[in-house]
Amino acid sequence: MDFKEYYKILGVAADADLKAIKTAYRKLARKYHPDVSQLADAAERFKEVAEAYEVLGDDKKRAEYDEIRKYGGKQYQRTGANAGAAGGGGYNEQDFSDFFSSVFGDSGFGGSGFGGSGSGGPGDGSSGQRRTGGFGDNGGGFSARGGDLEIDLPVLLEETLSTESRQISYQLPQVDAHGGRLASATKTLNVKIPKGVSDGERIRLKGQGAPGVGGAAAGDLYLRVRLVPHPLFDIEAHNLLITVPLAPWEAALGGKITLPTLQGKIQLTIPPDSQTGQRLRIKGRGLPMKNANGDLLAVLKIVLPAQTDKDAKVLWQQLADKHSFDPRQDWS
Amino acid sequence: MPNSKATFETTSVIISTHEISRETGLSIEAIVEVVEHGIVEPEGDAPEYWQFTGTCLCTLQRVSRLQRDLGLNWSGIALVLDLIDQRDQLQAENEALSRRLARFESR
Repeated sequence: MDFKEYYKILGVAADADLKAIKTAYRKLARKYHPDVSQLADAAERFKEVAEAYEVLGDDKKRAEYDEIRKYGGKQYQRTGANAGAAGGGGYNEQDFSDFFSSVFGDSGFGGSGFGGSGSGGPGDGSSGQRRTGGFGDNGGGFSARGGDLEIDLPVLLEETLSTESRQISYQLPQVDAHGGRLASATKTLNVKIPKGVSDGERIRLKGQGAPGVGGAAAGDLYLRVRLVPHPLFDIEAHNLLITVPLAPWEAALGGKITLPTLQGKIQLTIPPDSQTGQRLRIKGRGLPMKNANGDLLAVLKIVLPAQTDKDAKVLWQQLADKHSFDPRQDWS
Repeated sequence: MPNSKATFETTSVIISTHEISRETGLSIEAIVEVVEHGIVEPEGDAPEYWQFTGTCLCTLQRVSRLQRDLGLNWSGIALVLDLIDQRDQLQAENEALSRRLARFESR
């Protein structure tokens, strides 16, 4: 177990006053808050900062910590006075470090929920307060609702077309009867992905999150839908886009081509004198929505062969000689 | 493991104000404030009839964390969430445009 350099974590001197500590904490909390920050390790950093402030922002805890620190962090151990006292208050999404627990008692695992004692009911006056609790009653056995879990659910565009059943596996945290953490278990579920899901949408599976402690309800599992980038189609709101390469003569003369769509192949008519970047709309071949489907937009792109043989060069030359087209007339 | 064979229907969950309060730790008064700030928009005329979606619940959990961890007031939270949404949208748009540009520039 490592000694935690709380002063270093907050970036303050060891003799900093409470005001400086508070300011440092606020700045770092804003920077690393997992709901705001995009850093990959934001949650970890935020937890560290919250833990440091939990100690340094409290005179009693800070004095105790300073004492340990004075002896090079060698002598820390759980003190009777504080053991088990930290169940309420403070950061409760994840538990604090082993170092914190060993010095100040267990910060409690699974604190992200409430005991079944009706907290948060009407008129309980908890408005504007930090969320406390996580455990029912310290006297008897406690109970705590299990935490919610959120996992990403990659969904192929094809899978949004109809209600699909999918098997998902995830790590489920396990706790013993006293709320102690055990190794997590892999859980597998069959999930029906509703038709027409969109990117970023959350699907809630009631009671499939972390188990509760002491007979309390399990938390919920949230699946965050992530539409997987498709090799052919791009998404624009509920519409799909497909880039259609055309030979110059196809663009000039028009014609019919076979176009892949999410729902199978169709024939698409290319009008004569088509241009690169032009969009052709195919109604109802986009992503499914509640009422009607989105559209498929075919974006034209004129391409040339990588190499032209002698015969082709002759033909191009004829065109060049006979055609008085100046693509750069806007420049003059 | 129990339930592992069951198939879960995942369509539209409806969550009551009371349940939201229990899940997020926000008091009913706080939820009323949040709704009055337009941060979430439940169906229904009065708090006892409000119906929230799963996305609402996630937003309210963010609200709860932001209030608790950063000490923001409701207007501040509303602004932060709006700006984060805008940022996420712009990022998604940027990625989509980059992908499309790549299709256009490559042969």
